[in-house]
Amino acid sequence: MILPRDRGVGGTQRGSALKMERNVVVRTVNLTKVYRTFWGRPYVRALNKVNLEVYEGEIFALLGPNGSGKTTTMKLLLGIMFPTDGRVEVFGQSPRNVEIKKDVGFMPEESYLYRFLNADETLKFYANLMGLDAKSRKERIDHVLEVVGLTEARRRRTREYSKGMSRRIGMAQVLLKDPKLVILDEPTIGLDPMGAREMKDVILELKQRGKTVVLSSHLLADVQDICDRIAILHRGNLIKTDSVENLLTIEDTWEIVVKNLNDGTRQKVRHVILEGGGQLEKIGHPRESLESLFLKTIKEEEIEK
Amino acid sequence: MILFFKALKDYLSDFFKLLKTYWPEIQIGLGGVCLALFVAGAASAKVRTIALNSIREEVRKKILYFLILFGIIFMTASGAISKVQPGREAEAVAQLGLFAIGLFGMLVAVFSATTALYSEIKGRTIFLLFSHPVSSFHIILGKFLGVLGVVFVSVALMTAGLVAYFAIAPWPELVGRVALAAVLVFFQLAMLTAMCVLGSTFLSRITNILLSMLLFFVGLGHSFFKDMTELMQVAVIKYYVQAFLFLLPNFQKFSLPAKAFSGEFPFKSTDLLSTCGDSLFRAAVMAALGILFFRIKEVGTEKWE
Repeated sequence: MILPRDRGVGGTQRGSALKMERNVVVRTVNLTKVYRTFWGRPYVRALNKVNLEVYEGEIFALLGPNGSGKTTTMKLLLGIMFPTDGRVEVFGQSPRNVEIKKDVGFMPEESYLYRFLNADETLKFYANLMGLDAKSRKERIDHVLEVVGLTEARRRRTREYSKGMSRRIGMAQVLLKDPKLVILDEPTIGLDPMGAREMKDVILELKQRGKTVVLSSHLLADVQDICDRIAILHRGNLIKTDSVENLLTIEDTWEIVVKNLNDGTRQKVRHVILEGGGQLEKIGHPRESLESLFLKTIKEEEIEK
Repeated sequence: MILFFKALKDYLSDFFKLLKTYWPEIQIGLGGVCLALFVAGAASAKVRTIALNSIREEVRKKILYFLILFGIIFMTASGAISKVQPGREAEAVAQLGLFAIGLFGMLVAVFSATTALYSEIKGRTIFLLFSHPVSSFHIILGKFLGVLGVVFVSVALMTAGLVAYFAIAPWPELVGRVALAAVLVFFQLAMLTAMCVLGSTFLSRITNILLSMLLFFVGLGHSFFKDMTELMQVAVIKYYVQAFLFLLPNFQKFSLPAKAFSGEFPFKSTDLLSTCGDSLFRAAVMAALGILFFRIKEVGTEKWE
């Protein structure tokens, strides 16, 4: 999968953003959002003094149950809503600043599209808002439609699209912009396993090209698969934030994956571990993930046909 | 001190007298400035993109065609109705035809202008719009100009029907007057459109439709309500009502009286230009207020996650 041409953002390799100097792309300081009734009475504290930093070139996930404040955080990052207290900075500036929006791409949870437009017209509309000239507009639209696999459906009105197709066109408008910061609200929701895998590949490719990705998801396996760092929100409070590796590594347990191990050697390994004072939890065959099995089966089926 | 206030009073009195004397010229000047501002705004590619998208949205709605069709049918029917007034056929056709243009133009303006921003917010396409480098200025001005374009096309189509009727009927000398009256109707609807777009920044759609129509009809009876204030006994209420009528667009000014089609054409070009200038000025003020209100409006607060 080849994404649109880079605009010269410094490429940061996977994981290196955690080790190298960290340019903060998104920062929230004591970010608080209280929703009020028509009469001004507070009724929901959606976010409560949330402090976050997202670094250049990383994939950062916001996790949490419904009502935890994920979407509110994203809307505040986009400047659609205003904080009740605290502040948000995107590229060191207020998200209300129109200029920084050139470098921000957003795909909402449901792809909110103009139902009276087709895919071509939708992308042309957004390309015009970005000020692309006619030649590069056409080239980029053709390219992103190919990337998201909608070339054949480009003349169909978006109201006829399935949920998966709507998600793809939502992603296409992000790719068309080629932003430095990509904000994705539930990017894999509504997609079949193959579509979800493709979406995750696109996200990883964005990261490889030095883009910063902030996403929210309910699908924890997806987050574990692609994210560098996560923040767990619950009822508007930031409960935990760290790298996926730090959070998921069980420090006092070791895993050795070996191929072609015969029974005799396995017994010897068991013996050595027990002799060394180790507590053997399990020796057995590792399991393939269901996603991997599904994708492999479908691929084989397609090759046979 | 007393002398100072007396001098100030005299000075202000002279100033207002002068203002009153040259009021039509001032209105023409203000209208010219506002027209230049609108043209400058329309020169922005982002404003044009949003405006064209609004036009496309309206054009793809079938209800618009029904309204224009009903308008044309109504005007054609006015030819038959005019037969009941022997000797005053031309006047009757013109009056009924212009009434149809005004009525159906008003319906197009109110329903298109109250929907333009509402559909962006309800359909949440506003989120994607805000993730692009556009400001409330681009959105509101784009919406206003887009709807104005739709109103212009609707009025032009209906006027073309009426003008064609006059051209083939035995009153071709009245074609110019009919066309001029239709131009005034368009300027009247421009103010109504601006009022509806302003309302859509802080009112619900239904409230906006009802309030806009109410203010339109009150504005059509401007001189009646002005005369009523003279009969009011309580000074405070009288001043409030007078202030309200001063702020409310005088929609009545845009209706050419019946004698314009039967007797001598009673309008000076200064009066016509000042009426159009007043319309442009008021539309510009309402658009500016809409931009301001939309800038401080939070969208997307109806759902939190």
